[in-house]
Amino acid sequence: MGRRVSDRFDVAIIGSGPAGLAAARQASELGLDFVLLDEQRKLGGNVYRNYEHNAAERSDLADVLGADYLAASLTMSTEFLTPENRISGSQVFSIDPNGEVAYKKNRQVSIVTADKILIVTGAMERPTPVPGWTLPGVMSVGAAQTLLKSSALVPKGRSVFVGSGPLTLLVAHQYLKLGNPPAAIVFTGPLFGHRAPARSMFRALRFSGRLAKGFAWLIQLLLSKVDVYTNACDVEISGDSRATQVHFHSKSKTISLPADGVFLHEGVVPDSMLAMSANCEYVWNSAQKCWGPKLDGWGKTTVESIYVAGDSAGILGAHAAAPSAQRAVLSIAADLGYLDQGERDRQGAAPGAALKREQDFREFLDSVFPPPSQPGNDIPDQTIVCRCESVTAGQIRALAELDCANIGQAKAYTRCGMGPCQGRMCGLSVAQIIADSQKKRIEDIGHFRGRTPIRQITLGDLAIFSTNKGFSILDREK
Amino acid sequence: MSSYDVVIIGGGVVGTAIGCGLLQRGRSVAIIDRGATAFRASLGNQGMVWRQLKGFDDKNYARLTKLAVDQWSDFATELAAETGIDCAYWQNGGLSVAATETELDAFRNILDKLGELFVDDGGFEYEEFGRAKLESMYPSIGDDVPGAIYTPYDGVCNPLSLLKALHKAFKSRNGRYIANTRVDAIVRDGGSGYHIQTSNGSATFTCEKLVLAAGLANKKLGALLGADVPVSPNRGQILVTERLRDFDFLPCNCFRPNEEGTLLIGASSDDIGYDDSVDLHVAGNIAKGAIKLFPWLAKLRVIRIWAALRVMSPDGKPIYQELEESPGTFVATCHSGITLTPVHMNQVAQGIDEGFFRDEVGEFGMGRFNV
Amino acid sequence: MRVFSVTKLANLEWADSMFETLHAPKDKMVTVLIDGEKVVVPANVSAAAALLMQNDSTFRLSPVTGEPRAPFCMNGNCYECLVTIDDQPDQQGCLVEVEDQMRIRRQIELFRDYQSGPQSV
Repeated sequence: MGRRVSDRFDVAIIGSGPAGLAAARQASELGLDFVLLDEQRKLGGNVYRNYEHNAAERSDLADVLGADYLAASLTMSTEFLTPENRISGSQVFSIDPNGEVAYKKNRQVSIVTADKILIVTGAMERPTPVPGWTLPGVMSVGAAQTLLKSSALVPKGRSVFVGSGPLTLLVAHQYLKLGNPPAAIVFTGPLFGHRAPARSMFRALRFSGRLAKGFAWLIQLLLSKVDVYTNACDVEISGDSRATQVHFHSKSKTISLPADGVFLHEGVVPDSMLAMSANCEYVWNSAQKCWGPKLDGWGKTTVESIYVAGDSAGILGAHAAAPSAQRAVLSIAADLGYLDQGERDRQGAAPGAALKREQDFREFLDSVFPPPSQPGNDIPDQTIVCRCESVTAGQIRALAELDCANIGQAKAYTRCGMGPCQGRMCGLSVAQIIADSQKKRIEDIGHFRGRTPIRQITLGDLAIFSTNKGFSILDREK
Repeated sequence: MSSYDVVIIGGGVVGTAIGCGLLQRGRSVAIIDRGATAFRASLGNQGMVWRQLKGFDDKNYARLTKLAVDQWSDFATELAAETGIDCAYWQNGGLSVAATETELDAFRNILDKLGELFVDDGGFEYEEFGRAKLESMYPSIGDDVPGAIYTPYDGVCNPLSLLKALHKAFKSRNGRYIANTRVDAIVRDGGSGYHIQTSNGSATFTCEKLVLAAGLANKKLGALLGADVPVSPNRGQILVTERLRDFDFLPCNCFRPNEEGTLLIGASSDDIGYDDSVDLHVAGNIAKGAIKLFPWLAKLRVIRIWAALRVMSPDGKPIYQELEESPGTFVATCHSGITLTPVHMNQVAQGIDEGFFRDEVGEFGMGRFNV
Repeated sequence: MRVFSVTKLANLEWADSMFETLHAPKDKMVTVLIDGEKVVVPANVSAAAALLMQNDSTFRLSPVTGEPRAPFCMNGNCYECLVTIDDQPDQQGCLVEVEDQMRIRRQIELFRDYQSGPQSV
């Protein structure tokens, strides 16, 4: 379409993972003027991180990363992207319901404007506070995956994985294939989840292909020299200036494992900072035990101009990314008059069916492998829960003495959530600790309200947005 | 049904300070606090404890402010001793840094007027700092800055610790604090009492006296009793920076350092209704203005920006008033709720308890708006 | 089960790091300065990864407690990988790709040094 970057776009798509790319393709097919922004310089988000480079230059690595990663070629074709509609390496720090998307790229701040904003920033890992998790040498399993995909790094010594969820298995298996298997995997839950009710077993047959893969990884790990522990609790990491040991209880035994690196994971939750900062309403998803945006059936939030799709809307996985994004773009197109509602419904039927299938799979998966609850009572007092401000679980529990039962007040009283991460790493755990210690529901405790800027900028950067209206204290003191 | 001498609606710094004062005077007190859905000006301010520039055109307000600041030091010390929470009250004076000569003239005129107001009451000391002095105090000073006015009375506290300490004191003095609860209906009980119904359904409160200390919500609450409480919102935004290693700066009209080492830079003033969302362009104006005064601020990282709504009366001064439409109901509202905290705990609580406001606090009835 | 043969560079001296690199000999390399010292790293790795290759211990100190911290999430969420890049402080090293001659400095000192000592009235 060849719009200059400074014109107003129909839609600004934030995130270039599978959902963002599908959205951009759909927008292109419908003739919408779109702009695609991503803080990464390369396309692919997390799931297909660094795909272009790995597929072209490192087929050995791409093999290890798995068949799904290779299949990304279908989602990853990008002939609809041009220098005019793609802004990579752009850290979006502010969005506005009026359509202003402010970002920083190469040390410069800029704004693009669009009638609609589609947030497809994917997921982030659930906070995993255990004593000692702030020590150098402790990282998330997602971090391990990122290091492998983007920077081709693998741990060389004794790495210990602690947690649960498919990603734990996936990455451990990748390391196994690379000849750098973890020394141990410490599952914080049972190996095979809960017993599935009969209805679920029928569904299991539908999805047997996907399940078989996961089971195969597990079997291979069990057969290799990796030590596997299950139902671990009371996990602690110790070390002087870096992590050197992992301790836990499993099957009534206390176990201490030496470790050169510790990788934690307890599933993923929607990334919510941008939408929350624009005052989109969030609701508690009790099946997935996390917050998700309140959406209509097409991905529109409670703010008319803002849509959310993909894992940011709710954790459904990579296969749901494209249909979810397509439906959002169809609805945006209808809002802007490119389609009438009937046409939107007609074109949205197929992705709707695909999405339903993914929702079915997720429901099944959640019934057999329930998403881990955010630990609350289980976290020892001395554990740092808010990393940025070094606030401990004990300090959060002490808020009960002041009848402080909402997260905003907890923030005011303890400084938790006031650091640069704005509660990404602690919001869920702080709320759960308050809920558990005061016997309240986590949905009544609330969530941190992410605030602009959601990525750090300087005062000098901010000054660029000035409208030159001055403020004098004389105006305020009458 | 729960019964108290006084029920206070609003658990911010105003309501809780009044509650502590009333408990001290032997009353039984409950505070009903709406929590997360309220605008909560107590959590959205810079913690200034300030006399400079206030009330030059209003002797009563200047005196009220002096009364408050004169009590602050003892108040902070006693509160810390009672609760173990130090609200970090620093009183080393404050600055008004001028951006232009005209502004410096205006500051000077205001301080001279304050000097006249207090000529029989200790005067109003100030000192003028020129560029050379300012350059020795800061890494750099803007090219156009002519100078600043310093007065020794001003200071800052941590408003969040203040609120926390007040809550703790309220609780330890046996006040009843009802959290996350919105007042939906207030009905006079024939005689002198009240029935208050809340969003928690079944709970109903009765009391002899009712205090409306709910900030902007006082308007709606007053209306429930047939009174017009003239409060309206004015939005201010604050920029919060990263931590600095050395932050031994005096608070000024542009920023204040807090004890964590971050700078709070602000504040703007917008009349845009009940909207406390952040406007990036307003933030840009604050940043630009701050950098003009202190160029070294440009490199600092902004960790977050927040906005809050000031509670403004028609003349910007407090309201302490027993409602004519509803005898026994008292309104307490202001936009300088941090500075005035000791007055709320002492003189305003006394006024509510005795049934009339005297001396300095007696000058802030709503009748002044109808002149 | 087949173990994939993935090339591992053996000829680069990594200091005390828990990671090893899978970069192939033909990969483009760049020279960056880490804490003033010249280091050769593969092109396009993140600045945080470049640091992790050398020494995965302390990246910075907690501004509240002074405890040692290092990257946790590698995805822009934890803000533990803050480094100074080409004189710009507090860059998230995991979001920045290395470029030739990039100067990366760990922020081991507690706070930024913008001013020169306490001021007095």
